[in-house]
Amino acid sequence: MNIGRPKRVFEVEPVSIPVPEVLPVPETEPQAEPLPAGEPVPAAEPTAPSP
Amino acid sequence: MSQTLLEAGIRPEDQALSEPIMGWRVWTLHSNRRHTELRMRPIAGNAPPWPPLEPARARCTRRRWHRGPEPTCTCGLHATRDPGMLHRARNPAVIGTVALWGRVVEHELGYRSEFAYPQRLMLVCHLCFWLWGPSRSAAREVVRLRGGRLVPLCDEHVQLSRRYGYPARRFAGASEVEIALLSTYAVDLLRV
Repeated sequence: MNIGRPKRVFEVEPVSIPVPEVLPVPETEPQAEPLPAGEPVPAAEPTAPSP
Repeated sequence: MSQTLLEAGIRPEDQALSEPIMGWRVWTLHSNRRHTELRMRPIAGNAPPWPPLEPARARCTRRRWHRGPEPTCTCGLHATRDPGMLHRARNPAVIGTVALWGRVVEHELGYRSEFAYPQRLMLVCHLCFWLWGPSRSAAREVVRLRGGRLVPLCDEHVQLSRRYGYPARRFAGASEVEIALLSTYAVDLLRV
């Protein structure tokens, strides 16, 4: 690539490089810890009979 | 340095510029073996790739003791003023605009700078680029050569390369690679 003869010299102030925007990670709901193996699953609470 | 410049017919510029100078460049494109990184490299020579998210810096390989670009040397990060000048560049994969700063030597048809970073980029089919320039050189597919060099091609030249047994494998769709390239360097798409 021939860009011809030099003409002038400049001093150009520094440029800031683009930095990709980091999106905030949404907080996740705390999940219930899994039960240990062999432990009985607690029964669901009885609901009131409907009239 | 001023005396050297005057002897070479170059006018030293005392005034510092606050805005970067814009120029045009072309690069080749490469990926690593795992296909997880894209890097642009200068077309000529064996210069290192342009790093993402940090400026490319000129280093003189001839006379290492001077700050690049020395006006009387040929070192520095080259760019042209007019994209038409890049028409005959050897097998480019990417064309784009670049911001130039630090010490910048202005030439009749372009620039040599101390620092540079791409501004807008676009993949090109190098055969179409050679024939018609950037406005009619959109790529459809990217093939990978041995050594990791990526070559974007249009539909017609993909078919032609297959017909003639061009030793390349399909890498990905051009739009997919282009998005990954823009993301890697955190820049926008060049529209011509």
